[in-house]
Amino acid sequence: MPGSMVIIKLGDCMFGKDKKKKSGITNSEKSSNANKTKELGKSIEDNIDLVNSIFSNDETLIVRRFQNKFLKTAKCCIFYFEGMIDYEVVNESVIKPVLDNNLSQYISDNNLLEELQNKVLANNYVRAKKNINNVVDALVRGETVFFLDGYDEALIIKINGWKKRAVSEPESERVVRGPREGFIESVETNLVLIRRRIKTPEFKTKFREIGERTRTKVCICYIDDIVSKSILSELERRLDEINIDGILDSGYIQELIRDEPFSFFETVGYSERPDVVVSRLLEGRIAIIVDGSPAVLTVPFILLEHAQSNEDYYNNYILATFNRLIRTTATISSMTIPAVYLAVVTYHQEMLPTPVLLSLSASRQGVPFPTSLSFFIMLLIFDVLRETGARMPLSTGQAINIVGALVLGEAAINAKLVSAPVVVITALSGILTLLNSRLLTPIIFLRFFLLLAASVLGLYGVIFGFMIIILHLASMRSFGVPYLLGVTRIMHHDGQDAWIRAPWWTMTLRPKIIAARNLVRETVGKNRRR
Amino acid sequence: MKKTIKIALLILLISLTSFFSVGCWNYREIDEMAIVSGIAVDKGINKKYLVTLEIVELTGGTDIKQLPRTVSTEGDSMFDAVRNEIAFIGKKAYFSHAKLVIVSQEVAREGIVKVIDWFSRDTETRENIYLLVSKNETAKEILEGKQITNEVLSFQLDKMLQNQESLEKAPSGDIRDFINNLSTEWACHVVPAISIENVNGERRPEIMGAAIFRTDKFLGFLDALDTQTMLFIQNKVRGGVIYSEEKIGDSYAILEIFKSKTKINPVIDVNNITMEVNINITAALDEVDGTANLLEGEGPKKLEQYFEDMLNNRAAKFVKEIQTKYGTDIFGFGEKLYEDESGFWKRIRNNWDEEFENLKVKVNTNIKIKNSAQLAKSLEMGD
Repeated sequence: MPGSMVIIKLGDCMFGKDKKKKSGITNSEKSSNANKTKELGKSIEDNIDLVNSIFSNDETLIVRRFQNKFLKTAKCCIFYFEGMIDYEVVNESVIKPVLDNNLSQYISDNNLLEELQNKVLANNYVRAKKNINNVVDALVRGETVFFLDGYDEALIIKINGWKKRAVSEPESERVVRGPREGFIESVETNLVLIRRRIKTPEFKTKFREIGERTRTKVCICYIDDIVSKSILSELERRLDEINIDGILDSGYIQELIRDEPFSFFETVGYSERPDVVVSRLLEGRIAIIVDGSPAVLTVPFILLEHAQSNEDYYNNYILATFNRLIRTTATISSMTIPAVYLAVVTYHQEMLPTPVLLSLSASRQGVPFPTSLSFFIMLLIFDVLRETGARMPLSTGQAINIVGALVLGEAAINAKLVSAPVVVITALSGILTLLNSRLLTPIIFLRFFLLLAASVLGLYGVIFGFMIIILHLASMRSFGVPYLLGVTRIMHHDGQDAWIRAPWWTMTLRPKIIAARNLVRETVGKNRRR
Repeated sequence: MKKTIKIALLILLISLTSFFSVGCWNYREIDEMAIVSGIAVDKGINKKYLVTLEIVELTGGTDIKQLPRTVSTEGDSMFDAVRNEIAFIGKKAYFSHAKLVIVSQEVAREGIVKVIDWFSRDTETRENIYLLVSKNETAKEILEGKQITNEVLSFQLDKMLQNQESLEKAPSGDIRDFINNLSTEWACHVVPAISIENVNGERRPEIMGAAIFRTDKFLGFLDALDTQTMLFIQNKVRGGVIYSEEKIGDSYAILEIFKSKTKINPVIDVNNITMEVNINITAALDEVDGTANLLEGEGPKKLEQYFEDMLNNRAAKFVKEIQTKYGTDIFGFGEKLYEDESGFWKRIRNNWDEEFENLKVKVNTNIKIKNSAQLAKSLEMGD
């Protein structure tokens, strides 16, 4: 492809049409309009009253007043929210120095607050802010605010100290071989996990806050000399246009910035593993870390990433290719097996070998419902069981499995409600679904779609249904990158990491469209084994 | 808006074409069909045909039992008779898995095209159904015979026909072969013959020998030995057994055929045609029912010589018999001439039957006995 430029379809973005253009206005500026009349004054008592009035009825806001031993005029106070700061550090680095130091030696200078900031407060993050809104923002973020009598400025000191979960292996993405670290709910820790793996100044991070009320910290990170600038600016545009009350998980962002909002297929990827995210960053993708969510988003996202697993790259490439083929065929089969079975059994009996026909016919003797209906029912029951298993508390989950197996299996067949092959096919299809749980949505719905097509048109229906799915996939893009990138190629370098996992010494180039600016991953031939 | 209309039209077009272009779009459950395994066609008493269907009935549950039933109906045509079946069993008969058609001699004599036309025309029936002729009075009684294995009779017969390769006592061929042969000038065919024998008080069907057809009319039967000879000339032998007609030394010898290749070579001398039939057989001595050491010294040579002479004589006699008795070219000599000597064939094609009756046939068999299986010598007996 000569024109490997990224084409961003602006119209594809789900928002923009019916929403006001508001990209310039940030959250803090908006709230400044509301508190226009209130400003910080010189008197510490006024300021305390001001802050208390803003947070009235909130008893977790603590104010601690104190005075310097030597300078009686130096009345000060700190504000913080209970439990959100590290008390020990506040005591040691803020209260103690201000209490004990002889502040009268600094009084000769013009600005005592500045002197405090520069010479007394033993803390690594101290900023002076004049605006009351900054003060409010800092407080809700869990920072400590320091007021000094006689100054209309506040010092914001960052001493967060809440509990975080330990870095552990993510439940949803376990590996036999490979690093066992997983992201946690803190954006700072997650960034550390990534930065520990990429030691280059080209690694960039951009922060922003999304959510009117939750003010969730969202960090975009990328490697500057690989990333496509147009994808980056498109991502930033989409993030800027988000207007929502709160972001509780990266899933919110995922849904708000995606292409093809009505498709079953995801166009934004995620992982809970830093090694996966870093490998995607190295291919020119952009990661979006959302505070409070261990799932880090990556864009652009293509279909074949569903088939890739991080373990593919840590294991022998032959085994990895084999595993990848298993995953892809399993996914396709789990979608098509019930439909193909239905089509063959109800339309194309002549395709079956005679002994198979006889045993299938025998299994259907006395079963009242048509095969198609029993498939719909059985697949629905399977989905119900799956959802129940996910929702139930762990201790009762076992019971569901047993009841499900009994109801679905033995009892249904013995009671002649469904035929045995239908149960077998349903179970097979269900198990194959679990092999690639990220594709659950498309598999569930397209399975029903294909089943419907098969019950109306037989195998022709299955083929037509599959054609529609492929056409839909081929029309999709994720941030301008064709969704089926790499699917149609095997020998080309885009396909080296698609159906197969080529050996590392041959994968010299990055995915062409995603990392068009800086294609070469390593020098050709340098690593070649003879 | 324009795009929506375009997409709507496209969907309409795709679904319409799919409706019109597909053949089978009747949803039907597998248990609502009467699976037909075999068909027997007899002359009807009131109407033209009496068609007997062997239908596999199945009992469900954990242990599947196949219960074959036969149903006979009459009709003025094959299809009429077959459809009348519904009046008896309610389910529609399903023919895609039928394995064979057995035709009675009477029907076969009148011309079999009326019967097999339906098989090659109907969408559900297959053309690779075996065609057999009943040696007994009716075809029906064969389907009512008792099978030896646990399988349905027709499925067992199907296996018997498939495994003829290592027996070679009956030809094998399906309806498609028969129809292909019909359109040729020589227009004759052999199909396997089936009979029902009383074995230990039970009636068991047996496939042995062949039935000769001239165009679509049945002429007569061949016995098993003649069928084998015919198959040798036709180059259709892939295995089987040859046994000596008389004792060599003090024992009979039996050969197992490994490979058999026949080449027919037409030699034309002005208007006289001589068909040279060269049969090359690779075999092994597989059984000696006596103590004669047939492989000692000149033994193998003698043995080969004996079997060559035997087969030559048998073939020559058999060809003569066919020429005089039936006068139909069942060996494919006409086909060979058509292929190799098309100029000559054009001159004689119109009176090929006459030409065939006067055809000179020279059979030249060449047998190579490779080994004597696992024994080097004959079993020795102490005096």
